[in-house]
Amino acid sequence: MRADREGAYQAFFEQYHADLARLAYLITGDADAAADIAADALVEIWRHWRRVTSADNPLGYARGVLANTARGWLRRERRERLGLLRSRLTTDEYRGPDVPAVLDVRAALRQLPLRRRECVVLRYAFDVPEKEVAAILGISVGAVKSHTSRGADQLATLLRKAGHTADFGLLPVLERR
Amino acid sequence: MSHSDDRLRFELRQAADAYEPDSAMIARRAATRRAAAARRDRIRPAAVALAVVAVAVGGVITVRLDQDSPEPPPPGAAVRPPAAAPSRTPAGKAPKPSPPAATSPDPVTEDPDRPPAGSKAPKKPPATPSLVTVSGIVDQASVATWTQNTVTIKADKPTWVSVTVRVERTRDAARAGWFTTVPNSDLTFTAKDTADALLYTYTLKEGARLRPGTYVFAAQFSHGAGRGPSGDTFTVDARSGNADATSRGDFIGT
Repeated sequence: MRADREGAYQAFFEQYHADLARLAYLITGDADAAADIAADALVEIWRHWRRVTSADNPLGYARGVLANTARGWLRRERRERLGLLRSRLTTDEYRGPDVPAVLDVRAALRQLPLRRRECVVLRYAFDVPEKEVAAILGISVGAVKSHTSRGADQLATLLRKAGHTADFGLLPVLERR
Repeated sequence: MSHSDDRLRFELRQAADAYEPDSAMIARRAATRRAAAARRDRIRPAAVALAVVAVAVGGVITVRLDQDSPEPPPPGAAVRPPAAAPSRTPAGKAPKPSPPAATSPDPVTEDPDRPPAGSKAPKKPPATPSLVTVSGIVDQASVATWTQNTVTIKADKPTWVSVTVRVERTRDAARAGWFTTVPNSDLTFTAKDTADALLYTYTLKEGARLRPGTYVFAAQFSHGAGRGPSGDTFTVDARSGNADATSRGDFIGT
């Protein structure tokens, strides 16, 4: 029975770890953290394996665990950043419109409030149906609809401002740091 | 969905695909944390359970105090656990879940696979007190690409020990951590990598002694799938009063 569980978990890991890491990447915008968050979420998934297998939608359950883990990471990161900013002028963060000539999608996403970001990412990047997003995030379908539409509008506006017009939108997504 | 929705969908998917997760790193991190979580989850029964499991599986070595036991092994020669070979032959497949060994209350000083008394020249006089009893198992938290080899030592009297776990350097083998239930302040840990092995050495500081009890020394490592413990060994040097003993053994899968 142990071996079965182990095998099933390994198969689950193989199949979904990249998906989960990508979700973490889009939610946090941080490649290193994404791997870390995915690993943490997968440990949680292993610990509560029965819940995963008895879930109607194991991947949905896993995404919920991941979203929670990512939220915790963002909270910690925000606290640290606020601490830093307080001791420094904020001008580094806010450098006028000329700097991000190409504001990549990832950076634009980071400007969305977390709920909107989660909804937009799950709906648009991962094609998760509204009802499932609601289950993953533990909010109502109505809330998902509203967060998604506001988030999508905001993101579109940000990208347009940054030059992602119909013509420029096909530029490869650049890694900036 | 509007045109702008399609654009967003495209951009977001592209952003997701642009990120290529480091699968090996995620697997390694997850495995290390799993082991830590497993330890936390069963923190109390752990010590007892490990000791019992070790005995149930075999591979137990009892190092005796007497120097003039029959067939004294040449200096440094391996004292092989008698049960090791037989229990490994059905390697891997059909891992017979070891029957509850807890039935015998103090099994550690008796070799479970020992033939009935008197059937063979006894290796050791029965009255001799033991110095330490050691065993090596592959921890149950181990997975296809990550393993914890655990040496358990039961000391009957204050004892100095030095434990070396030798992990055969199979494909992709890499250190992933270690721990012991001996207070770290009493101990020096050394990591050494050779061409064909990863060595984990836990040495009690001069003057430090294990108090009577059971202790665990764990060596963790990640590796390519399909690995077995057959190339891994451990060595225990023990000293109590002016008695010295060295024993070696294999790790038995659970």
